[in-house]
Amino acid sequence: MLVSVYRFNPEVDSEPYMQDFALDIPQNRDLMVLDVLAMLKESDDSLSYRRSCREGVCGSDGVNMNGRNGLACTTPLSTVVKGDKLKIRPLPGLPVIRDLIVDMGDFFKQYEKVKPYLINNDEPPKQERLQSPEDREKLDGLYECILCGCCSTACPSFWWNPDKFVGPAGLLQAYRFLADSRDTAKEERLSELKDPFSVFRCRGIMNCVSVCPKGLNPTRAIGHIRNMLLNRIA
Amino acid sequence: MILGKLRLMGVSGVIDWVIQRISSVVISSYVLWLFAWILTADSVDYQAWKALFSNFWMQVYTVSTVIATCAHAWVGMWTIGSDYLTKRQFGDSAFLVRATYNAFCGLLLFLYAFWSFYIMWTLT
Repeated sequence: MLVSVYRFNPEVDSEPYMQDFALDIPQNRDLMVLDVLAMLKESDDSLSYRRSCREGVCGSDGVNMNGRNGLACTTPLSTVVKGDKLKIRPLPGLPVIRDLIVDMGDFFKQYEKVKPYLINNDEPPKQERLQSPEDREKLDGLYECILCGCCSTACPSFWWNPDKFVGPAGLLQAYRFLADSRDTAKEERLSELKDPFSVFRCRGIMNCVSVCPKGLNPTRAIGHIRNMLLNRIA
Repeated sequence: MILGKLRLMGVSGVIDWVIQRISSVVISSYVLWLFAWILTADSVDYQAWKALFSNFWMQVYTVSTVIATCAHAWVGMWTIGSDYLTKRQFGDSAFLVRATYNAFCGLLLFLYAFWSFYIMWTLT
């Protein structure tokens, strides 16, 4: 198999380039893309990428494989390789630090902006703030986000305005707290999202939904936020 | 502040969103109505067109649709400008480029609207 990898070391290279590797992939085994990266690293230890848990939980190894964002550790070669070729690039839209490692600063700034924590200034009960099973169910499909960045970096609106558009990952978390029955800061949260960029720059392209490695649906969450904002003025 | 003023309808995403949806409905209904009229009219010649647009309510409907189209276009054009004419592409001159672009779009839409009003109210 021919593997083409994006390479860029700012200390040595004046510009990025694609480096080709010919790999013998064992037959009758469907390796993950992360396994391929590990094999490449054996032959060239200067190749840099992030990885940690290697089972789709930590969200470290988000990369672009044959034009599609995903987690290298949970993406089998059989689902991405076309014509015995695989191109691996860093997540698009973010500055490259080195090879497949991107600067997630913009991504996490947007995440911080939505205050991704419970706000409740009421007197706390003795044990814990209780929630009915029905209210708890509303958080399903929201809390599971692992912040890998695959969705936001697949979103053209985030590419154009990474400093102003919160992006699908941040907005999924914004709705996770807007939907939480224990949170008492809904008005403040919505006030911070009503400008033309934070939420409304979403054009419903739905790249976020098609690439999310956890099968989540940020577009639906954004729709809910939009409805909440509309209901405020209705 | 100046940028804020130039945004006009870009002040609130909610308002922009509502404007685009309502104006879409107005424009769609107008197009459907015109098609229906063309399909059902006895004859579609100059006299028929003139009679149609000389009707007061048709003039009001047409002017409303022109306003809706301009509002719709303004939100869209402003959005395009804020996507592509940014600091990343134009550096420090981005503000000037965007302000010029917004002013051009605003003026053009105003002229279109004014021209349409002029045509409508000088027909009879």
